[in-house]
Amino acid sequence: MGKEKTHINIVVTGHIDSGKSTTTGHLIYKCGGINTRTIEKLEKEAAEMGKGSFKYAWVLDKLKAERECGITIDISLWKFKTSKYYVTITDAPGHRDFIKNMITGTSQADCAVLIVAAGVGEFEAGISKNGQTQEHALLAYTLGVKQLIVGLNKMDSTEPPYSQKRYEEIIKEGWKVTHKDGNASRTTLLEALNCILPPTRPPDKPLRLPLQDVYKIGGIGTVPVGRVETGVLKPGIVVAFAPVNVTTEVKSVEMHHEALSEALPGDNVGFNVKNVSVKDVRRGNVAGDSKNDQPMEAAGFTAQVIILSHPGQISAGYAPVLDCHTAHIACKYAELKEKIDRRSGKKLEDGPKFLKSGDTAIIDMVPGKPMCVESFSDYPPPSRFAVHDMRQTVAVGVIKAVDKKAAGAGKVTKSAQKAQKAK
Amino acid sequence: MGCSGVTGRVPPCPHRGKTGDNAIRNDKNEEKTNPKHLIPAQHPGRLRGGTGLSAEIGEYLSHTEALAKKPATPSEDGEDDDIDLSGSNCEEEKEAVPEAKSSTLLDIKPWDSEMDVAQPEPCAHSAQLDELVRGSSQLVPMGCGIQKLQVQCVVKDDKGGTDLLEEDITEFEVHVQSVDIAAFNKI
Repeated sequence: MGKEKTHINIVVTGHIDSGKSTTTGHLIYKCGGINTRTIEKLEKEAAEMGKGSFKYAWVLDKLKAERECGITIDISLWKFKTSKYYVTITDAPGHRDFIKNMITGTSQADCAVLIVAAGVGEFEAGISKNGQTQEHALLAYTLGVKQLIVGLNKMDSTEPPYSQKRYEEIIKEGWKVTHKDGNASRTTLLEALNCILPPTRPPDKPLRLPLQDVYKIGGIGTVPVGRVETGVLKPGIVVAFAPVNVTTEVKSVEMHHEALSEALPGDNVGFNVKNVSVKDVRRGNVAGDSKNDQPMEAAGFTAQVIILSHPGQISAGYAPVLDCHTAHIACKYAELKEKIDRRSGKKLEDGPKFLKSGDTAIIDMVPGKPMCVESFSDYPPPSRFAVHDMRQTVAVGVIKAVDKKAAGAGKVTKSAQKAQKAK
Repeated sequence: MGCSGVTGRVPPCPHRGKTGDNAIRNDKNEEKTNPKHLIPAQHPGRLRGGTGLSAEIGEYLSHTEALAKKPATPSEDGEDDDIDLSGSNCEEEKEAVPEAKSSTLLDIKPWDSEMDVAQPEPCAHSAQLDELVRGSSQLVPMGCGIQKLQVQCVVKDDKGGTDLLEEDITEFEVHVQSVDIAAFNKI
């Protein structure tokens, strides 16, 4: 894969009968997401069975059956091309762990695609108050997915089919769309995808790289691996790891077997550090430039939390596990500051005694173990978290402000000292 | 329904034990914070250094087999599970017959380049949740000589969580450093 096209991630959501899976399947099918040999084989089979015009549905069903058996790995990584982008598409499962994965997983969505069915009654049911459609859109927005495409599906089931009147009706139905940028009104889904603004992963911000794993490699030494979220990682710079407070020099940076002279946001890299043992740094640590706003341990932080599903009431003192970037640490809800309206952000109540499912609140939290987090305004990617309790995701949140602990004298390796002196 | 309760775990930490935070780890609130260091008490054999991996896995397998027998019939049709669905939210009611499933692709990562990368394979095999379908797997080079194991799994949406699956696999901490979800899709 060359660098000629930008890579974007999209997530498809929608009501169960909106046909979102069929739409997703079609996109992958038509835009080169499935290898030609598989397609040819299936199309030939379809022709032999006399499926004719039902060919697509049949092929999609076949592929679905194949995915169900989990035989081919490449069809589980759904990718396709538009004229402008390489797209990785996720058909959002109803699985309760999906939200957590969307927040902490490897691919934060750049855009959400909401599929709604146009049929009489169908659309209304889909966006009704207890319909989950709006819920999904709001959740995605709160978590930082700021672009949304609404795909109007099943236009053939309107009265009459493909009714322009019905289309106008739906467009009017409370979709107060404000186009900030990238106007893509009234067009086909494929064209709309081309209008997505590519992710801006700012290289001019200070470096933040949450560690996924730390390897010990014979002949090389210690190699932490992770994705550059902001900033630039280069050989020769002195990095600091938080919250462990270890400082050392980066000897080399590697991605897909190739040595890099610099790694940019979005790159998944391994980098070799000197005089650091695999015991010194671990998953959940964050690497940053020691000279440019180095990452620090958080003594506490303030977050906006949406309670998704919790059987009881949540009050101060509650201490569930937070998944924030690659860290997985219990944090205490020290103070419930205010309950807010999740849409407008307006304050509803000061110092609520407790919270229940569906509430949104501003909460002060204290990590149970050293942890490095960032505020959404400074470093969006490591500021989102999922709250885990009773084996499920009970809440999601975004960090608004961080109370950073003043760093004491940490471990500074010899090579880091040398590198610092040389400059 | 899980293979192992969270309670009753002991932190053996053969790889990174000497971090000095054992006291914190014993704290109840912290139990789940770092599952890769925790081993269920049901596998006391794992604590003895001399026990070979194959023996450990054998033990684990027999454990999971016993668990697998508990659900009446792990049939693929999902017909036996209609009762489960009746209590779930309205979205799923209409789709009661074909139960909602998700496809996940797990990245299972070792500790270092010298490790026998084929080893995590039996671990992934043995981590069996209720009615989990384990698909194919492949080794993917990650650079610096490290290879990760990618395993395809199909899970039912209202059965065990993927974190449970991750936890089960990371219990083989002698070989597995971490598990990440590379892809997660509705089927």
